[in-house]
Amino acid sequence: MEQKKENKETLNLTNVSYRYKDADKDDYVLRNINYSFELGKIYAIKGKSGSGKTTLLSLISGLETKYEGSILYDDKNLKKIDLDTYRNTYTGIVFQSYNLLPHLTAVENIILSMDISKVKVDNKRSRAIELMKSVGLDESFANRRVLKLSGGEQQRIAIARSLSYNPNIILADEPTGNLDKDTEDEILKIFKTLAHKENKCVIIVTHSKNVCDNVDIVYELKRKNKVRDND
Amino acid sequence: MIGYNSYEDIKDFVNGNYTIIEGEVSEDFNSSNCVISEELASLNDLSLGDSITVLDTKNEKNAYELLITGIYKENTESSDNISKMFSNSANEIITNVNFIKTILSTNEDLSATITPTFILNNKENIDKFANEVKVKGLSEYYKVDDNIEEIESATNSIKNVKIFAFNFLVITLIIGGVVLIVINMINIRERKYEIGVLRTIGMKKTKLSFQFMIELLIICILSLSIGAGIGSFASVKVANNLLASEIANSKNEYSNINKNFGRSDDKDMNENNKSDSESIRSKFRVADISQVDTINAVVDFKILAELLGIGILLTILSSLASMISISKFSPLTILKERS
Repeated sequence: MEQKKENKETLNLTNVSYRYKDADKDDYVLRNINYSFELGKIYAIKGKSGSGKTTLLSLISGLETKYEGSILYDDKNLKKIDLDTYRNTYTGIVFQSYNLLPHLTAVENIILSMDISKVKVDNKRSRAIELMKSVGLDESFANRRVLKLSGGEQQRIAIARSLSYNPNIILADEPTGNLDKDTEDEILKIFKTLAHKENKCVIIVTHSKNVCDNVDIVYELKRKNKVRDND
Repeated sequence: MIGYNSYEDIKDFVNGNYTIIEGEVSEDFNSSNCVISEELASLNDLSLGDSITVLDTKNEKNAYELLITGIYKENTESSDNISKMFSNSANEIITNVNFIKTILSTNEDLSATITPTFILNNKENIDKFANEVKVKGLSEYYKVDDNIEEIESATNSIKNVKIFAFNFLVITLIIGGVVLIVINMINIRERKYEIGVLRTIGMKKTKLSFQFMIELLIICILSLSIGAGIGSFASVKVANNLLASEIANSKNEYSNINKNFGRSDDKDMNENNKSDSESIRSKFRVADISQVDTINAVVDFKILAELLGIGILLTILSSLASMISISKFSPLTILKERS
């Protein structure tokens, strides 16, 4: 699979439907979703609580596999590829609660991610510090335990971790949900840079109007699955 | 009148039933000497150095002189039963076999009970020995007895200890295995979040399971190394202390036996120093074994390897539990629970 494509569809969801295991037969959280995502753009998926935003992100990230329809990454069906490789090579995931390993330092969290992806980097530590700088954290944060960092700093580390193996797609689940307005703006700026300057496809699940106003395309999830183009 | 030809055969002295109060049991088993009871001595006004004249009742011309080298007291209560008057131990004159043979050689009408004792190195040779003595002319009126049952009953306790130790080992291994599995499960539950994060960022189940197993193996090998190191160091000390205690007990016991025979420790010790086990062997017929008073090394690498093998096997078995858990965990569920 090629890692870089210029503004071409990289993710394609066709008639994707999903219902929980214990739900009634017709009680779908997501029904016939048909979304496309391109490199170089930043997307927001918004919707009320329970509308299936995070579930959709789980399907796109390959963490949930029991759905109907198809999700294609570079024309390859996610159901037919190795999802561990997909997650550790082509997609980077950023969570609202950061999900960093608390017993590791900031730089170790990033290096761990490189180790898992088997990305070839001459000096992993230097690369990790470089990534930290790209998200606005200087070298002094490198050896600090992540629990000693603020929410905004932890989220930057999580973004740096997701970028550590240079994936095409960045998936972010409420990345600014725990952060104040100023920090939210800074994080959004990072995501915009990633999409527009580094040609990544950034998909953000959010409640925030501010986020929706700053992305290229917004998908709104309702039971009828409205689509609103922000361009 | 009872004759012996070694100290070891005089069981009453070895066991402590009789104790010399004056003189000693002579180590000269060829001369005409004897020891008598305190009661016999006082009732007949005999003392150490006196001689007793023994008369052949069937031919009074045959008289034999016996020098009293020792007087003993009986530590067990003698029977008052009249029927046992003539077999009362107080009437016993303890001498040597050569003297008895001398008496018997002069009058064929005299009778005696001869109980020779042979010590064999190997119990497998008992039957061969019995056959050999019969071939060599042992009368049909004699029989060969052995104390195999007595020896086996003594060694049975050791066999029982061995079986108990083995069973204990097996039970320990089973319980240890179960405990390891439980600890592993607890460990996995405690590190569920870590597993969730690692799986989310793309670590494969097999790699994750392997990582947990490697962690356990490192702990297992480190623990075994520390345990074996401490064990080998401590066991030498403990074993030497136990050995020292055994040697002290043995010396004490030997000293008591010496006292029963009326022999001083100093005299005997000096003899021991001179010819080591030879002197003991000649008196007590103990086997010629070299005595050990220190144990230098007890680390048996074969056993260490076996222990390591068992440890690794248990670790791998208990890791299976964690592998199954990891394979069943959904990273999404773990992270949702955490959130």
